[in-house]
Amino acid sequence: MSEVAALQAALAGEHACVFGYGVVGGVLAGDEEEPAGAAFDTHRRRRDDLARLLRDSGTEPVAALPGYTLPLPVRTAAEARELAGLLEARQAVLLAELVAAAGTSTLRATAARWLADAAVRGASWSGAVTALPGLDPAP
Amino acid sequence: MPAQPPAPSRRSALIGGCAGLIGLVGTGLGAAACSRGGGEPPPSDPPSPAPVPDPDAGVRESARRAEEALIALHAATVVRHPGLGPTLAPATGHHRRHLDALAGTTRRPAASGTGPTTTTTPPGVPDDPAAALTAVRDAEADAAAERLLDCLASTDPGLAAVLASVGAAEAAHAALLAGGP
Repeated sequence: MSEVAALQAALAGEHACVFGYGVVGGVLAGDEEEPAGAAFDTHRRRRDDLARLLRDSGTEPVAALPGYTLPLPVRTAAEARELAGLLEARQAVLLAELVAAAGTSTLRATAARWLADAAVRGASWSGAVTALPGLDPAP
Repeated sequence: MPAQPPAPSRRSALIGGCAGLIGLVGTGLGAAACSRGGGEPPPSDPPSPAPVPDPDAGVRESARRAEEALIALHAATVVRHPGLGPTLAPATGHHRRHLDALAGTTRRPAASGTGPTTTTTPPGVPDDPAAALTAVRDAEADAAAERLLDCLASTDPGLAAVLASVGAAEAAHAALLAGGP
């Protein structure tokens, strides 16, 4: 995969994460409101970072889809946590691909740090991590 | 697009070494071609090219040793504090899979004579179970940071992704063992 294709795929994933955490944040309350809001902000920042990287390389960044289908109904806190864990696991796959496709050490380091973040945040929602985040098949 | 980032100094040194090697091989072929001028039968077996050294051998080896050290630390911790067994079991299993994944990226089988895995000295385990768990958590966090450096040093993009993933799992282990995000 080329670096641009990997950046575009990661950006599309961040668009989905921003949408998904919007849903998660609407359901979680109390102590879980803050981490859900922080995750929403993080994914928004990364979306903007990726779009900027693409523009800097002369590529038009992919836009968010007009709508997203949730992989599960999200009505309860448990369902919201499950969706959040799923978002992180799926984004981890795109970030592992970006690690492999990165043409500079700066981008590789960024992608690897974001992959670690996704694993840590995913574990905070699901209480577990897989052996090889981003390489193990995402649920 | 260049698919192989960093590890600047070591990498350029290796590239220099390869260029030298190619130069030598070229000279050898030139000599062989000259010697055929006299109508003698060509040699039956052309010289096989010398194997190119694996530029990532050092990175693979340090990651492999680190995974073995973590497995040894987990084992020693559970021997001293059997009650921590269920807590550590998933992460211990992950480190075994990390070893498999690292072996799966090996370009060539290791040279014969490297022998069985190095015996790791059993680490000292604190008497207090909470302190023992903290020691494991710190070791996981250190390993995560080291795998990130290995990832950046790797010349093979596939190996870089494996090392980033291994480090990500270890960062998550550290977070989970700390009892939360």
